[in-house]
Amino acid sequence: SGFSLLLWIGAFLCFTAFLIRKITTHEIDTDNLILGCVLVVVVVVTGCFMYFQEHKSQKIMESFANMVPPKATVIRGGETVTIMSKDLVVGDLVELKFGDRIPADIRIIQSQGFKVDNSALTGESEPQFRSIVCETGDRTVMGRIAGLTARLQPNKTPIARELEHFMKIISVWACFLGVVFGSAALAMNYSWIEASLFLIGIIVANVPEGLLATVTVCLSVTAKRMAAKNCLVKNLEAVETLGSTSIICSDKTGTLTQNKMTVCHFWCDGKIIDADSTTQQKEAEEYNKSEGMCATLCNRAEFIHGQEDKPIQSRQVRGDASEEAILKFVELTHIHGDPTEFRHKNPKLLEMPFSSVTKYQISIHGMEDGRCLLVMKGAPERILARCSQMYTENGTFCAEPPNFPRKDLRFVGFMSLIDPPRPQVPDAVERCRSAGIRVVMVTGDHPITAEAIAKQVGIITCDEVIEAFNINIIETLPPNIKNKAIVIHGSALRDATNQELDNILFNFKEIVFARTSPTQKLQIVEGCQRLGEIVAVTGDGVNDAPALKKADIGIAMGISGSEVSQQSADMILLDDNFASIITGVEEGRRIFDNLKKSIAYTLASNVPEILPFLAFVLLNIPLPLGVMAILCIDLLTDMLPAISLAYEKAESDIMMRPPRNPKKDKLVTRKLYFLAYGHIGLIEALGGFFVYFAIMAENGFWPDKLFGLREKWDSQSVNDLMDSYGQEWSYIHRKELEYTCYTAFMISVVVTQWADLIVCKTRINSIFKQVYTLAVSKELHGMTNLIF
Amino acid sequence: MRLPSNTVFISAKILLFYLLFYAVLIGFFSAMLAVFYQTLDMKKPKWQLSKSLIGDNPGLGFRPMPPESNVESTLIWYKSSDKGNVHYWKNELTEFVKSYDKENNPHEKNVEECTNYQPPSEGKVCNVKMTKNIWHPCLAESSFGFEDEKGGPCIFLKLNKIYNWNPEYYNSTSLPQDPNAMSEYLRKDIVDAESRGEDGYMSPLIAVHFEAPRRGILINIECKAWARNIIHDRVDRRGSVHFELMVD
Repeated sequence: SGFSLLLWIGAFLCFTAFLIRKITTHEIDTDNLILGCVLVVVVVVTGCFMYFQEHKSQKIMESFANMVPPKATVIRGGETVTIMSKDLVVGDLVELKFGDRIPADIRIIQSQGFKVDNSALTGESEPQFRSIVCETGDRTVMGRIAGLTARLQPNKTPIARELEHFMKIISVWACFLGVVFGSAALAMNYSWIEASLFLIGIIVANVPEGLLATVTVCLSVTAKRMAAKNCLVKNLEAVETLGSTSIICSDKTGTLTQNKMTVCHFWCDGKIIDADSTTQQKEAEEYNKSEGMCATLCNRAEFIHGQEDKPIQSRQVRGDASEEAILKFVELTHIHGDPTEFRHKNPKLLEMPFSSVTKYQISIHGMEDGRCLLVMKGAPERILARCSQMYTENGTFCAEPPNFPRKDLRFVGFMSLIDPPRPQVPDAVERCRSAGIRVVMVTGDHPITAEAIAKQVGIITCDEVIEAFNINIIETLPPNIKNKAIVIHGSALRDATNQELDNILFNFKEIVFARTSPTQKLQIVEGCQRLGEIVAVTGDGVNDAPALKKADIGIAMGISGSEVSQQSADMILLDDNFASIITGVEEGRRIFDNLKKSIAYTLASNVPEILPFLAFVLLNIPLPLGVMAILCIDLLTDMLPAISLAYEKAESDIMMRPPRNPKKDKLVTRKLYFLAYGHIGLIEALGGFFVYFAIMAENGFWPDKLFGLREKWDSQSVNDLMDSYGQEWSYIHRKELEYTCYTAFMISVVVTQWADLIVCKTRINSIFKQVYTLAVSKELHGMTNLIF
Repeated sequence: MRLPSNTVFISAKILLFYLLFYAVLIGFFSAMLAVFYQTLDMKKPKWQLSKSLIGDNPGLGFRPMPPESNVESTLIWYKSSDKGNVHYWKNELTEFVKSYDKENNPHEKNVEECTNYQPPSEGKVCNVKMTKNIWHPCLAESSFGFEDEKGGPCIFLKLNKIYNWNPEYYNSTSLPQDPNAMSEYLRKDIVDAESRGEDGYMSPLIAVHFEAPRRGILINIECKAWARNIIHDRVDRRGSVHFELMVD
């Protein structure tokens, strides 16, 4: 990164200074040699630290990927073998059974009721065997998406941009000071060697040695804190990105919703009854048994054995997602007791499985009382077309079908299914809104479904929704669109120009994109970025990978997320919960504030480090603060307090203010410089100089004597330097006095830095208010603990 | 008339703030420093001897010293036949010796004549008598030996002044081994070096006359001051001085 580059240059300059001294005067300049080495060590150590931090996240990720090692059963050379998916070659015969992952692009050559979960490709679950491998590796559809992802150049993270900006300022400032004082030294009749040594010295003194380490540690502290809240950060710099996010492009399935089909309503006997997915189905229990019978029998889904002790909603089911929903519903209502048992009692005699052509499913069961029951389930229009009667509670007339009838059936009822939103999502969306973050839904799902979910979770709150299903609507948008929401169909988006897309993204506060393709997701992200927004993208499918990579921060799902999406993301939500993003935003905003404090704190001590050297050059006084003392301040005494500021509590409700404007709210602003350098730094330097002059005077050198003394003071040949009292100092004793001054100066800087720490603790609030608020909140905590 | 724009007004306010802020800061700094200097004695240092960093082990200085443009050097290098070359060294020494004249001492009244090996009376300092019989040829009249075609120069050695430091003289029994051996080569001349910080005090002084240094050879010279309370260390140059001499 740019910052370590600055340190490398600093180290290089130190070695140059060392070499100049070695060649011209044959003296070994240990100070510069040590400083150079320390700078190199600092860069290397922080580099390693960063590597290990990211390696650790990488390992957590790998453990996710390795939970289910992708394997495939293939017929190769006439033998059935199980091999790793990556070892497949074109021409292998793949045998797939229920629940297997499709290992490559395959051509189906023989199948029976085969259905594929395409959700990894499309982002939606939509439930077709023996097949032949026709493409492998990068040539598969998956591989092509991965290729598109790999070719994308991710943007620099905002914090990296901020640090680069800061580095530029520091370097320009350092070089400016160096050149000004270097030429001043030349004008003061110093030799060019001395002048260039001063120049190097001033540049190096301006480098905040400890800052890179401080920033790295601060970020990893937050990364750790976020990991504890189920946000695994892969890239350290992405820690802050979430805090400056202004738009979240969220996927629907699995992120906003639970990715579990659930029965939400059913209709029977002329009444619509709510089915609650969480509590016991009280109302459903009172409901007529016929629909329950049908739901239990005309259902191929089964619970996987050995999970009977788990709550019903989290039990694993073998079967189609909607049948799973119905099975769980039946299990919850328990109208006919245990569904498995009920099925045993009423065995299936014949079955016609669901197919996308017929869109219904029929099964015939032998009932306990010896009669046969035909039950049918399917798409509403298909079922209704085959019904001539309707079941009512009062209808006692019961006509058993004499044989396999496919019409004139009796309609029992509807069951409507939904992939319900996660319970925490509406609240999280609301909090995003109050934090000034726009949530845009980008889904591959049907616009109607998308709109319904968007309304449920609060992405759409407007009453008026423009449904842009084709380009004409986009081209003829009404003039007053401020308080309207828009749902855009992928095909409309395909025909829209970038300008029209920007126009929509800029004007509408509530936007839902439906039926979008991977490239369109990318297009949306790029559109937001053109508007200067910091974009976060959440996604779990392979199709999301390009958008995840292009986004300022890509957020993948830890549980349902595909491997490719996790690899291209910067952050992983370990619990797949959109609400975790909010904690991430909060932590990100907090670390930005706290980094500001850390930098203000660290920069302040730069002034008392540079001024002694300037005074040494311009006023010709013995050096008040040595290089080693500077290193001690920067790398020892300043580091821990600066890191401690990363733990600082937020000053106000950071979730109630809009996200920072990356163009205006910089990490290091002029205000911060003036405060750190112009106020605090200067006071610290004066404190140091006071101690310096005091110690010199107490030992005999009054200030008037000190000015212009530098050359004689530093000359080993002068063994009898006279002080203000006429005492004569030998070289060794003078140097002892000088080192004492270094120590005193250093201690005074350290002590003033304590005060600086308290100054930097808050940026907006008064320290008393902050301490008071904390104390009060602790007090309240204590009180509530007492009460409960 | 147009009113100054808002930014100008704000900048002016900021400028005024910094002017006041720095004025107050510097004022406070100077005031504090002034208060601090009130606690110091003008006549004697606050910390003395071992309490001070100067310690109680004086070092030695030599004269003449090389010019300030060559401040890192301790080499006295000249050509005795070259008047211009010798001029600098002669001049340096003349100025140095002058400061020892009773007439040039700003506290002339304090200077009294001492008998050999006797300390001066309370509050007085001894006069350094640069008489011909003792100091020849280390006098300005004979160019401090610098112009001598065969002989060598006179180098003056002075003990560093340390406030309130008193030498503990050796007596005949306590003389260490080394000086005894040395005494065969050097004229033994115990120097009075009491320094209580009296006004007009001059550092004790001896002159070393190099009688016939080889021409064109660099001679390394180390001189030590001997007293019971002076310890020596060559590396740190404690209680001693080092210089080089080269006569062409």
